[in-house]
Amino acid sequence: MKVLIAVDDSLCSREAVNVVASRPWAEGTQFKVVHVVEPIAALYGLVAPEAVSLMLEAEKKLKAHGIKFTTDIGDYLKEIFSEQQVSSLVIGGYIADSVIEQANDWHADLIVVGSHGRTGLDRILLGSVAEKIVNRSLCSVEVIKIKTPKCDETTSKNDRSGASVRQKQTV
Amino acid sequence: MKVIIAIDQTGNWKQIIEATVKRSWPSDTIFRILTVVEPVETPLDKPKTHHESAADKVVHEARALLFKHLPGCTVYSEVRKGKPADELVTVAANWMVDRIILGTHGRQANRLIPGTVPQLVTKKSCCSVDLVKLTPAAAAAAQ
Repeated sequence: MKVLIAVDDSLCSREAVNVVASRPWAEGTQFKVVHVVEPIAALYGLVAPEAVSLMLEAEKKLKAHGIKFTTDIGDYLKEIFSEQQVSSLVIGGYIADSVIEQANDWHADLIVVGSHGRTGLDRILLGSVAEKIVNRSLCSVEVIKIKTPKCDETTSKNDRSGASVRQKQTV
Repeated sequence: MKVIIAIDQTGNWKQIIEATVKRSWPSDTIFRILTVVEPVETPLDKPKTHHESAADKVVHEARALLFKHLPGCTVYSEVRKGKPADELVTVAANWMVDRIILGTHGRQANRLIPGTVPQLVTKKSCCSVDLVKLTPAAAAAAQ
């Protein structure tokens, strides 16, 4: 089995990595940690020419930071699984597109991605990378979430006593 | 570990069960195969609709198939009435599940309009959501 873990430097990505690390996997499962650095350069047309060099500098720093934490995550997983089972990769591009392209090229069976859990205006403006990956990928996708106090609100909002349980069986 | 496997009454459930079997599971995993039937008004002398009977049959078969491949695991099966996404999210939160497994065709919807069940479950649920990519050919063959 081939598992691609899409990461960024966020709490939800760390949670996704921890979940992967804590689970049992079939023998020989391969893991690929992928981080995508989005091109700030795409905004060149919208900013003053003097700002372009600053943006290039920022892009370099982002990539260097990405390489550092992706390598750290790869090393952490190598300690849990084995050196041969884990690889890491930092690429440039648009996140969802690049992750899907990597998954297709590598023939991944599963993409694991953390969810930021954006709601409301944030979600409309920024969208959800996880959602884009789910919609476009050719393989299965697991969206890992961090449990938050919002969960309790969701439960009470959705809970309706009228829901009937038709059958229940235990083996 | 507590896992909900959400299936519907089409032939896709076999792909979802097969994908579940391919994953590795801790020995204490409890599976709950769940299907949700949207309520339809029926005459009093006809308590079960065709959909409900089909749902009963499907969860039985799915449970048998999962148990065949993962003997020794604990499997519950359940048919609920309501809106599929809401019911799944509610059961997941009440039962404090670790993972929901459901199938997706990956049809793209605009994020400004209400989405499909997988989209809504991914958005609203508090636990991890494992979306099994469904292959149309396999589904057609199963049906």
